[in-house]
Amino acid sequence: MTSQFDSNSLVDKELNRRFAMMRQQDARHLPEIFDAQVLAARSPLIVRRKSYAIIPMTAAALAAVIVTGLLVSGQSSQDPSLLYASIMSENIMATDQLMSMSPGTMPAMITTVGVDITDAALVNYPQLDYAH
Amino acid sequence: MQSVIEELQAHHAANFGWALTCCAWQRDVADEVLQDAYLRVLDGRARYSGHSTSKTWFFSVIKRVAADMQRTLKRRSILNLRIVSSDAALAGDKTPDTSEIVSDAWEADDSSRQLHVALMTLPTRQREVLHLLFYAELTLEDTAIALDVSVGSVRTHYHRGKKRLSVLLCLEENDD
Repeated sequence: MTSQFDSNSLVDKELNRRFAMMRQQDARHLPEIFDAQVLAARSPLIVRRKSYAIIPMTAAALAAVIVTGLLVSGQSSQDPSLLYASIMSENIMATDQLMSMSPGTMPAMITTVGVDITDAALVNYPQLDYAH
Repeated sequence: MQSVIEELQAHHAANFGWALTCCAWQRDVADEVLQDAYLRVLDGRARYSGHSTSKTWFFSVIKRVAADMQRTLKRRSILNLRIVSSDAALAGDKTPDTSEIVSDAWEADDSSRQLHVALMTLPTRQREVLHLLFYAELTLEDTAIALDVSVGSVRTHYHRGKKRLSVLLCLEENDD
């Protein structure tokens, strides 16, 4: 409050008087605390805001129904042996392919690189021939 | 909720005066600001922290709403500026002075009108500080909280504003 300053001064007294007059004048033109017109203009916003709350609730309910439906429809029991047999019959094992050998491969396997090298080593490097 | 409404009713006159000051005594804008501030208080958008009195809190909410309103009005005026400026250039439009704005509010006697006009010429912060200290009779601390400034700043604005106001109102300042 102004009493913390020099409220006893003439200026403060005069200002206090004038502001008090202004206060009284404003009080004569005081509007109603809740202006019906203003509130009526704003009330649709409030109502709409309440209705906005329904949207996430509806979305959540829909999601729950969809998830439940998917879970129920996906629960078909299956015999493990049948499952195993179907997998084994439908897919060729990769290891079988690796182990199989075409007929053309066999002649090449006869003259292998390793054999040639061993022969050459014996020719060029007799010291490696431990038989002597 | 009932207690909040009772508090609002108790401080309604002071709130209205503060809204008028924040809106440069434009009655329509002040009404709108006040109602919007009350709605914010009632629907919980403005929350009371308990660090000040309820009266001070209402003032700070009103101040915030008034600032928002001013920004909105400024944006609208910028949007309308192109149309208005072309019309004004043709018609030789002039900006209304402060006395015209004040007299638009409602019929006031000479003393109050002088005070209105003098306050309108003050910087916004000085006007607000003087209003809260003299009109609303808040303490320095509550004024500082309502305006979200320091107590020292309030004291400075008070002295400067009072000095300038006393010159404008031709009051004798012999007590410094």
